[in-house]
Amino acid sequence: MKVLRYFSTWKKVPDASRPVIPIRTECLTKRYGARLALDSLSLEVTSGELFGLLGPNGAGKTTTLRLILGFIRPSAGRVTVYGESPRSVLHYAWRRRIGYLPGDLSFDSEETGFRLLEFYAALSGGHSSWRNELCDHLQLERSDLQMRIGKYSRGMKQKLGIIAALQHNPDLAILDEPTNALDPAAQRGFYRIVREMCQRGKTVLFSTHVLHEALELCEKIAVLSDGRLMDLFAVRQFIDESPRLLYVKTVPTLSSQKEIPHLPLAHFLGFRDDWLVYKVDAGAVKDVIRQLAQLPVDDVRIESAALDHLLSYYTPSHKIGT
Amino acid sequence: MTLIGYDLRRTRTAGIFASTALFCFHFLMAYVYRALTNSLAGGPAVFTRFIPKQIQAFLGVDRLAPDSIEGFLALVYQHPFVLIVVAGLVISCCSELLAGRLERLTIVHLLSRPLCRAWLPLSAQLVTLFWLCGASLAAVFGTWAGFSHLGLKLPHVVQLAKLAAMLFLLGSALAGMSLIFSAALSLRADAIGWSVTVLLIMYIGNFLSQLWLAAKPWAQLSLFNYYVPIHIFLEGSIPLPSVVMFILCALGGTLVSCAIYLVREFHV
Repeated sequence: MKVLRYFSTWKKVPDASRPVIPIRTECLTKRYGARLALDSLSLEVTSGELFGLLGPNGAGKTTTLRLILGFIRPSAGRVTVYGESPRSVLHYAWRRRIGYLPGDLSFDSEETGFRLLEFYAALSGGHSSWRNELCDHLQLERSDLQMRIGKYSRGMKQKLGIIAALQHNPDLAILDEPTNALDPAAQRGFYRIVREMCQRGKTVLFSTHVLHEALELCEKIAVLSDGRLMDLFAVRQFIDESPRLLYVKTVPTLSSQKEIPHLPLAHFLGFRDDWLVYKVDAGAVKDVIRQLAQLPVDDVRIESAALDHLLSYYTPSHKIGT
Repeated sequence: MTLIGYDLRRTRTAGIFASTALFCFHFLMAYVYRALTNSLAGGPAVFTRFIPKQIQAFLGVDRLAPDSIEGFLALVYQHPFVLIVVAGLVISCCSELLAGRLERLTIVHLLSRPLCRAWLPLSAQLVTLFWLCGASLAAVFGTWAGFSHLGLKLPHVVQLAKLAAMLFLLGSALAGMSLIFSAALSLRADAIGWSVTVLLIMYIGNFLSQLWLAAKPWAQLSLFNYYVPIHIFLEGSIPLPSVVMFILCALGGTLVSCAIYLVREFHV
């Protein structure tokens, strides 16, 4: 049966009139013995999208990426990449269209960075001037590429990994925790790279557990926890509709609960250092600011509660069965 | 650079080391032969007295005395050092290019490229055969250089080429076996361990089955049973069953390892 499944895509002719979706999973499930690593994941990543897979360690992000790349077989459900089964024996040309950065990055340390990039480029069908731009964005010097990889720092290896994954200008970039070990300047450079790719109509799927990075970069986010899809949302809309956290510092500093100023449209959450923290609905912010003007307020700070909402998925109370 | 080119680079140390070792060993054997024939009455034949009759029959020294260059060469090409170097070369190459890559996680860069997965074991086998070819030729070249240097008469060059071919065929069969373990296992040490274990069982099993008649039929399961260089001098060619067995093992191992790579999971 397995053999039949591998050859099942043999006669399939793609329908040119329908746009091919870069990634589609339907009830994708993966079991490792008794442990359920991924449970019925259904999602679509469309062309030109910057899609984030978010979740704590062990949530199933890397398993999802392995299934998408065909490294492992699904226990149930199916996944297609540009309409092809990633486990197909006969159809592997679609991999020319993808670039993959693994989470556990490793290279042959005896080779130079340049030689390795040339080798991977040859396998993927060549590279373009895009490689030089990537080096510039990530601040990796040409002289660094002539060094043996054994002498590279972790950050330099991560930069090399990003360049190796993207140098052939793929239509779909699959990146597993791409900003690991990157310094802040290189992180900014990486953000520029993925935004530039999306502007050119490329698709980017990346997994991360860095919340602010996901909110800053992604257009759409899927939150995984314990192998299950907990949430799937468009980031802009999510941030716009999320409640705000209002931080207020009064004069003088309050010493008891009784002195807490009452704001009718805000819900008092508690103290955080010297600050009073209120939760305000997105539509009521203007009115609350007006009310604040009549109080003895020394300082005010407003933040989106989106980050705190996402953080809640990382706490044990969100885990299945607890 | 292609995958084969890259794999050749990765294994060049093992290939060059094995070729050099075999060249030097066979070059030195010419001096050993001269020393034995000059200083001992009866020459190398003296030593055959210490070998059990069945083993003598297996080695062919009962029909072709090791006093002769042909008999001596047949023994030298079955010397444990030669077999260890050849086996070491093929196991080292196969395990490095498959299980080693998986262990170091560098395989992920290849699996995510437009490359048929079966191409990885196939490339490993081709690269191993390339270095094996080099090592076999180095062995024969060492023999030729050593004996020529001392002015000793050598067998015909075609017979020397057949010796190299037989060594190459044995190595390619061992490579087929090692390739299966390297493709199925995820740690290089495991792949090496299993390959060496099976190889030792085959070698010792073959040796014991020559001594114990009841175990004689089991000798056919050992690849070493088909590696008898003396046949080249006695019959003028490599025995057909040996050629068939070696080629079948090499091809079978390659096909099985390709099939393993097409169906196995990679947790990288």
